Amino acid sequence: MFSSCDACLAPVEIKQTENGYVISMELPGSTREEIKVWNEKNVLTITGEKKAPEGDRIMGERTFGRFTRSFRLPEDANRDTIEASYSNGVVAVQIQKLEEKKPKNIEVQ
Amino acid sequence: MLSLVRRDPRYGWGLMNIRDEIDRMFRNFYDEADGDERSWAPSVDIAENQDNLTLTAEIPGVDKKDVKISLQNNVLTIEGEKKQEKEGSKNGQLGSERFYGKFSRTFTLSADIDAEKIKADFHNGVLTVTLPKTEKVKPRQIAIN
Repeated sequence: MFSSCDACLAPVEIKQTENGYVISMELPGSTREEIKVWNEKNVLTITGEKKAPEGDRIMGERTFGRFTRSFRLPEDANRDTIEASYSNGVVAVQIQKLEEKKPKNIEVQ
Repeated sequence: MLSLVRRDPRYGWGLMNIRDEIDRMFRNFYDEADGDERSWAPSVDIAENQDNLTLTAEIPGVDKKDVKISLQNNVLTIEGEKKQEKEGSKNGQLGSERFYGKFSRTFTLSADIDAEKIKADFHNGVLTVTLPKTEKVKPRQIAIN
């Protein structure tokens, strides 16, 4: 059903929180060293490889291979404070919103 | 006689909107899959070597305590629940290809598996179940007299 297999190889979810954005990607069976998160200008890219385990497969539903997924960051993303973590097979990239872009309350004089 | 017929805007405007229609179909598909009560099925591989069958299941984003493995009458069941992370409400979701909810997969083991020696390990979102073969089905070398 997907035109490319990136979505089945590394499915993604993007959420907006009060203070920023979270991009989470399912990458079961990878290691930290195999996952690279890049930021260039306003594009965030996650690349990696899901390696097939050794042994003769007699049944195979899992997908393996290299993937690259890119996301255009919104204008209010603070590109200096992007953090990434990997736990339980999920990569989570935390992006903070810029302070000046947050809604401000302006007092009436 | 001419009569006014109310058209369903969803289908009524011809092929010009087929692209929107396909977009809507996919959007609905994802929305429905996001429901808490729906279930999904993890992808499973089974590999074989001389000594074991090895079953691996992809269960990313699930805690070890939320996965249960049981064996009854030669039927191996893997079940559990993938819970949505609390951070960010559902309204804050800007797009998702991930699935959440309860899952269950069952496998019937042949008599060639030594049920007493089955082992399981959960690491980096992958559940690995090692199913050792019984001695009688392992290949053995026959000495030439």
